[in-house]
Parts: sequence; structure tokens; C-alpha cells
Amino acid sequence: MSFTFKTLARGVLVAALSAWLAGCGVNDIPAYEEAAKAAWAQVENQYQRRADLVPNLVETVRAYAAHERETLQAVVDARSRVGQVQLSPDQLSDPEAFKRFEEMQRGLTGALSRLLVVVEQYPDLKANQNFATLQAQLEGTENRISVARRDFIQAVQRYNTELRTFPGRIWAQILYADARPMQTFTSEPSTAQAPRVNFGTRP
Amino acid sequence: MRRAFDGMRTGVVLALAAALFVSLARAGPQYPALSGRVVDETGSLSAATRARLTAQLEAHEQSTTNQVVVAVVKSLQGYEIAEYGVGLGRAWRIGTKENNGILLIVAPNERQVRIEVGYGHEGRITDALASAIIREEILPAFRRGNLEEGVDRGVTAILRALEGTAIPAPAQAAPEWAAQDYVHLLIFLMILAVIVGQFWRNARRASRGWHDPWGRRRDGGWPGWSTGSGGRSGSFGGSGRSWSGGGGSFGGGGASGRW
Repeated sequence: MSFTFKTLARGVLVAALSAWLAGCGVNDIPAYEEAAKAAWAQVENQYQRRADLVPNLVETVRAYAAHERETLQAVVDARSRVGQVQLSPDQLSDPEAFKRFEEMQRGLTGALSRLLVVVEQYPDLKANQNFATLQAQLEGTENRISVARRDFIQAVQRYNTELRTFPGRIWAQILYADARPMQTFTSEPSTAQAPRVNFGTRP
Repeated sequence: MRRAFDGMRTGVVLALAAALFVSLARAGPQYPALSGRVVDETGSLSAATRARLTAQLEAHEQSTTNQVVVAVVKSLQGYEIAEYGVGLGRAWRIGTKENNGILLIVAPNERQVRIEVGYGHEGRITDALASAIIREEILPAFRRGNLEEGVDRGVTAILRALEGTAIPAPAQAAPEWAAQDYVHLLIFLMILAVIVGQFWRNARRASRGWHDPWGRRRDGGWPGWSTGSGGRSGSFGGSGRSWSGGGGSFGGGGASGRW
């Protein structure tokens, strides 16, 4: 009888200890890591969405502005380069891979914005309904990218801070020896990227 | 174990720095209070219009659970309307857990307008559709200087696009703990106990004389009890007298326009 009581008491003790540990943030590192990875998935998702828009956009522009061959080709090239660089969540702590990914995406951003500047000279194209739709989609996607990037920056900041500050630092040493700080975007897209795509809505 | 203590000291310093950094990073726009389904900071809408729109939006929410809010704001405080819009939607938590919130944001002083679409409706109110609503329904009236008409037509178009999106009453609204969940918890706790016990023993062995802060037992009592502080945001949609957002989030879907 006393044995069962002892077992029970031990069980309660363990339950209490676990709850207390959870309060101490023993789970914070993996939780924040997952949150950052999820935020990264969103970033990739939105970049992918942008890449998917490109062929359609290029075709539409080509129909009206065929002799802007160079600008169009630059977009096509940048898009194919973007398609070659994938960054899995496990590579987020790899500065080289991260930098490469960002450079490729920035390349596409630049090429796209040059294309959209060129397009300003073609009123027929701007009046085209299909093009207006593509513009709205591209603008929305660029906006989603910047939201996703901001969320990612925040998630990584929280994770990295947890790794380096008091309770998390201890937990990292004891339990999560393989946890590494993640890379993040160095600047907001508004400064790193070319001017926003915002036309078609002006008079 | 001196290293751990050095680590702790560095940790405290870093924590302070982080706290400062976080407080700086939080400095975003100041959002108006969510006083109802139609928030009009500039007094651009008449009382009658406000009441009519509110009734319209309320009826729509009751039949579909979609939360649609109109916000006429005094100032974007120097932010892009897209950035402001996402922040406002998230701050107000418009939409239910299905993220089915929509905001129509008008900034008369900056002459900008935006339809901000919650994650859940990005498929239905696509950026292209939002842009078309702005260009064809809202902007013509705004350019004529008729803000009320533009808002009215915008809301009507948004609600029309949302027709028939009734989400069935959520069966998963209140997650009940089944007996099986308790069993899982128990198993989890046991495994955890083994792991914790293991590292505890290891830590003891590795460092003679080092006291885990939680390892000190005094007369069988617990040194301290800390409740979890990382609680998830609770849901509080629909119930209660004063209306509020239901915990929806936004990811930047929608479109903007200028006039």
C-alpha cells in the first residue's frame, strides 16, 4: 500500500516538476525555432509566388513591347537563377547559403522593377486588362514578401535572443547543443529592394 | 561550473540589451481604438451612413462569421498604407481563427485607400479583385470628392464578393480534453522525467558541488512555482456585448490605391 502511495507521490512530483520546467522556458528554444522555420516557409512561399507570376508577366509585356528584349531577358534570367537556389529550413544558420538566396531574390526584384519602369512608356500595355491584373498580383506579392520578411526577422530575433539570454542559454547548453543562431535579413525590403511597384492605381 | 555563471552574467546583460532592442522595434504606428465595425477618425462619414454600414456589416458577420471593418484614419503616420494596414488588422485582430477578416482602410489626408484581406480570404478576394474594386468602385467616387459613396460602394462590392462564404459553425472551437489526451500527457511526463533525471544526474556527476537552482529541496517543499507565461492569445470572438476582433491575422493580401 505504501508502495502505491510512493509511486503516486512520485508521479505527482514529476508532473509538478515538468510543469515548473515548462514555466522556466525549457521548451522555448524548440518552439521558437519552429516558429522561425514556419516564418521562413512563408517567406519562401511568397518568393515562389512571385517567381510563378513572372512568365505570365513577361509574355504579356512582350506582346506590347517586344523590342525591350534586353530588359525582358534580364527578368527571365533572374527568374531562372532564383529557381536554382533553394534554402531549406536547416540551412538557415548557414550565412553563405542565406546570402546567396537573398542575392538571387534581390536580382529578380531589380530586374522586375526595371521592367516595370520600361513599361511606363507603353500606354496600350498599361490599359490592358490582363496586365492590370498581373500588376495588382505582383504588387500584392511584393507586399506579402515584405510582410513575410518582417515576420521572419522578428521570429529569428526572438529565437536568437532566446539562445543567447539567460534561461535559454542554459537550456541550450544542457539540452539543445545543436541549436545554432539563424541568419536573418539585414535590412528591410524597402531599403534593400528596388522601388515599390505602385502604378496603375494612379490617375 | 564557472562558465555557467559567466554565461549567466553575459546573459543578463544581453537580456537587458534585448529588452531595449525589442522596445525600440515595437515602436510602430499608433492605431486608433477599435470602437466598432466602422471606425471614423476624421468624421468623414455621416452618423446615418455609419449606422447603416454597421448594420450591414453586422448582418454579414452573423450569417458568415466574416469580420469586415471600415477604418477612416486621420494619418498613416508616415507608413506605407500596406504596412499600416497589416499592422492595423493584426492589432485589431479582425477575423476569427479562420482569418476571415477584411479591412477597408481610407486615409483621406494621404488620399490613399486599401483593402486588407486576411489570410483566410486571400483565395476569394484576390489582389486582382481587391484592386479592381478599388479602381472601379471606390476611386471614381473618391475622385469626385464623395467619400461616403466610395466607402459604400466598396463595402457593397466586398460583401458581394464574400457572398456564400459562410463557414460552418466551428466544431473545434473548444478543444475538449479526451481521456486519451491525459494518457498522452502522462506518457510524455514520464519520458520527460527520465530525460530530466538523466541530465540531472549527469550534471551532478560532471560538476561536484554545483547546485541546480531548482535542485535545492528544503524540507520537502518546492523552492518555487512558476506558472507558464508564454500563453497563446486567447480567442474571444463574437461573445460579449462590446464587439471586438476574433483573433484573425493578416499576411499582406489585398490592394491599395491613390486618388
